[in-house]
Amino acid sequence: MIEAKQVSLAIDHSTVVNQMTFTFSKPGMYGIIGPNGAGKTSLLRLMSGAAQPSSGKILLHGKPIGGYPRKTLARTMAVLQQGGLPPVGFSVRDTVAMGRFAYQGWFGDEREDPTPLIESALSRMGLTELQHRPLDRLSGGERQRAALAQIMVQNPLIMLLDEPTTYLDIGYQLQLLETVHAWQRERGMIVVAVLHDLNLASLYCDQLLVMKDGSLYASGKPRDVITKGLVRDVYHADAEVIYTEEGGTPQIVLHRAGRLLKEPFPSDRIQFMQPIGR
Amino acid sequence: MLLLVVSIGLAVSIGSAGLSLSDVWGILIYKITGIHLFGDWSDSDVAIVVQIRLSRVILAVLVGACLATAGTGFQGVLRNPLADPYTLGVASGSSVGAAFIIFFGLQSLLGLWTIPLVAFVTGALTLFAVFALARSKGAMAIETLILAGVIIQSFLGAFVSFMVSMSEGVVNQILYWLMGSLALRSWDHVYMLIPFLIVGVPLIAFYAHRLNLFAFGERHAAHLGVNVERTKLIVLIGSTLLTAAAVSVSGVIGFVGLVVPHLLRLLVGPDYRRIIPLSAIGGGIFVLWADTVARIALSPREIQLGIVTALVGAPFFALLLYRHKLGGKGDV
Repeated sequence: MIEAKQVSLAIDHSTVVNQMTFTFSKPGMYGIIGPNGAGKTSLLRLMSGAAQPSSGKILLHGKPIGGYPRKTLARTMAVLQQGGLPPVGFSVRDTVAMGRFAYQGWFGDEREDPTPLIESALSRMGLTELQHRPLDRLSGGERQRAALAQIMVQNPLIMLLDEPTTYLDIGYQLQLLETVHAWQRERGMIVVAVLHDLNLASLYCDQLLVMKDGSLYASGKPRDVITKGLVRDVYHADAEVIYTEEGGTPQIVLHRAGRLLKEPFPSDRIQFMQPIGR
Repeated sequence: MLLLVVSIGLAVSIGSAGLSLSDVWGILIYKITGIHLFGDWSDSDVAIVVQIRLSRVILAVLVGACLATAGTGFQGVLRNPLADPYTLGVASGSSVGAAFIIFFGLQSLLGLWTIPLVAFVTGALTLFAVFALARSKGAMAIETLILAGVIIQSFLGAFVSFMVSMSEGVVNQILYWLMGSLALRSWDHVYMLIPFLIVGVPLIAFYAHRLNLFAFGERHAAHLGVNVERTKLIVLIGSTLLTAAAVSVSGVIGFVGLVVPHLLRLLVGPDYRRIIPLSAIGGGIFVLWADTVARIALSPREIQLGIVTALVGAPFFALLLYRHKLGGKGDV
């Protein structure tokens, strides 16, 4: 169980997360959505203990998250950061095996042989063929799968994913979320994922949290949250919402921008590339 | 390991005194086993081999082991392929402390370990200053860190030069501190270095597994269960301690900690559990050969050891920098 109580985070005097309160107590897929700069990644950093809240607290099983030693925390919670793994020289297999760190003793030993666990994570992520290849010779999408396989062997009960589908094409996006979903159901995990794609979020999440300007804007089941009005108010985008036949999952269809935008290119957000002399 | 033993054997055999191979080995076998097997030598020949040549060879191996392990530690914890005791300015910082103690005659303060301990303190302060200079908004760019190291290093180098020129010492001694040398050292220095090596290398090797996880970034390592702050602190202290000990006996010898870990990475891959112990051995071999070249290249005159390592290391550094600019693939 993970709870946020009136949690805020300020960076350089500007509030990026503002007084958020919520509880994830039951196993399930929880999606955090919202526009760029809404504070989604900052919230995930607070939940992972990587950032200290300016006020309020994050509780993991009733105890403040900062009170857990790193190793203990890593046995309960796994985190997939935005951008995945850097291109280093370790092989896929070695990288995945490093996910076992939190279970290892002083000399890298373990009570039980982790090999079956590593093998199954590799095959689940379709990396068995690539297992001996170093990460710096993989594509971005393959590295992302390796990152997920690494946290799979961590055997967590809570998993935080920051934009897990970046770098992936539609096919792999679906496949990755399908894998996470199946794994979540199997182990009864709490999975919290920051997702950019509203359609993927509503396909795979049981609950959605919508953030805007650092605050909780709305929350609930996808079919209650994803509406034409929400897309307009939160994203300043014009969209139709349609429902898939089975289960009534909402999917959005976009219209061309323009009608709703007073300022189509907010000047503080977009920087035009300057040609750089060689 | 075998290469190290062979290197020691060869290096002991080569020298400017013109002793024959059989004499050298006759003396060594006599000294170790007490059996006069072969050769025909005098007492002064024994002194040359045991007191001068063998001690120097052993010292070269130990200094190399210290510097290369320290370099590996710095590179691992900073995830900076260009880091090394020399480029970070830690070696210069240590030399200021050591030079200060020597030129003001304060050696007797804490006995044999006065110099390395003071060198450690000034080395650590230097590292701290370099970090403070390089850090902007909590992040340290690879090149900025090295630039800060170079700035502090030249500033401190000037200090050392100033101290030496104010003392009675001859100009050669300035070079000794700035370019490093193992001339005129004795077994005492070997004994002084050994405890630091026994503590420092296993300490860093103990954290090898964590340094592997550091390769994915500090935060990622933390999420996998690594106590990042403690790992950084201990590896940095260990590396600085090894640097200080090496500098205390040999002055500033550059680039050893840069060249050796990188060559090992090419040979055995990125796993620190292999690189750290192999660095100790490889560093020993590297400095031993550099020192042997320093002794005999212009025999009977000596070249400064730091000149030899810089002639090898600086182009190597340039190559790494170039590759880093091209995209830095596989450097860390």
